[in-house]
Amino acid sequence: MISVLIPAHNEAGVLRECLDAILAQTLPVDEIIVVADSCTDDTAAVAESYGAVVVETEQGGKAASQDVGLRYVTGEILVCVDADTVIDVDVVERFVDELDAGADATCANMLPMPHQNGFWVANRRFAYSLGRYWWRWCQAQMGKLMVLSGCAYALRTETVRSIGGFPGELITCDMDLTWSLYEAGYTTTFCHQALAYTYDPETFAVYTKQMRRWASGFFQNFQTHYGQVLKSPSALLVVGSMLFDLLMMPVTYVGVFLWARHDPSSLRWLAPSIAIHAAITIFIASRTITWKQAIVGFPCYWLANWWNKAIYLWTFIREWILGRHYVSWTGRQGRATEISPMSRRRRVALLAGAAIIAIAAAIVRGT
Amino acid sequence: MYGHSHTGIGALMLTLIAGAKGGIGYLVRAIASPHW
Repeated sequence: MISVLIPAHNEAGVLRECLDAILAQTLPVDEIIVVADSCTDDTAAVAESYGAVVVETEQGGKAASQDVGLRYVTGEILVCVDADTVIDVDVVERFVDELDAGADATCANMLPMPHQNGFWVANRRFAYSLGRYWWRWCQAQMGKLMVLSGCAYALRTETVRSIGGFPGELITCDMDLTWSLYEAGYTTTFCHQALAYTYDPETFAVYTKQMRRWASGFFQNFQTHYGQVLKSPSALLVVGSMLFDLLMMPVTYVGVFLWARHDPSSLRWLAPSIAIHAAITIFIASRTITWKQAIVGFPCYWLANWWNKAIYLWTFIREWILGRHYVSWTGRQGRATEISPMSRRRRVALLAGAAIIAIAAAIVRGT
Repeated sequence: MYGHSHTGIGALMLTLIAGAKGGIGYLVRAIASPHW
């Protein structure tokens, strides 16, 4: 028996598309549970009109809503889908095949909605297509998928119940769930042939809010689950390679800048290196999206990546060094962002560290 | 980022090790069949 769980907060406008796609699956589902969390629109009425079990609640968060819905789940296989996501007709069938083949949890590859356009969407379309046959494929080969895509994934109901339900402590609950599953000894797979279309941010402001939340969730997650990362060489490679590339970025660019100042002709390598990067990534992305989308997407992706990395670098400093944590949840609805203040202990430690460095520098300069 | 992309020496290492482990042949077969 297959159950579908959909947490929703004021999603009346998009829920019909989501439910239409679930009802059109090649492998029919047995029950649909929609958790209408703090809704002030017709989300519950839309869900009821599709014959879904509707649970109305006031949780104010995705994981808490899923936990409420979990109490109503009767199927052995649980497919979790976001209300603003449309899955391909064969996704449930592919998920079930994957679980039957031995996976404990699996997820789809995301893409923006086909009718969405613009710079930020083109960037995402390219990044997701590239991830499908590159990074996420690599992570899956290492047995440590970084994150089960929150918009469409599946696992056995017993699996999530055995870890105490959906973890909701961190700002990105899908990554928290993924690493809580690893902690309990479960495995994940990447069902790359299953495609899920989701509404991606179209404006700079909403994109930035989402990236700040994702970046904060990334660092909070590995602050919480660092034991899992250190315990497994595969996890260390997957997470470590990402952190290494992020932290090396400023070092690399300062190095290139200094090299170019010393020898301006060295910049002649810049254009060919970008061209090689473009050729490889456009080819890989074109396996999922059209050549035109891939060619248009590359410059958007290349430029947006600078902004992404700047956000991640600052978030690294804020979350791990300053100890100021992102604690609110911001989705497309654009709820307010909240950052926790720095603790007194951390402030004293940082000031003491800065003072020691300043004294040491003065002594070195004096000698 | 967030599990989707990164570029650099780390990404290269991950690609080489995952490729060696998973089999480059599988990847070549997968990308040879486009999904448009």
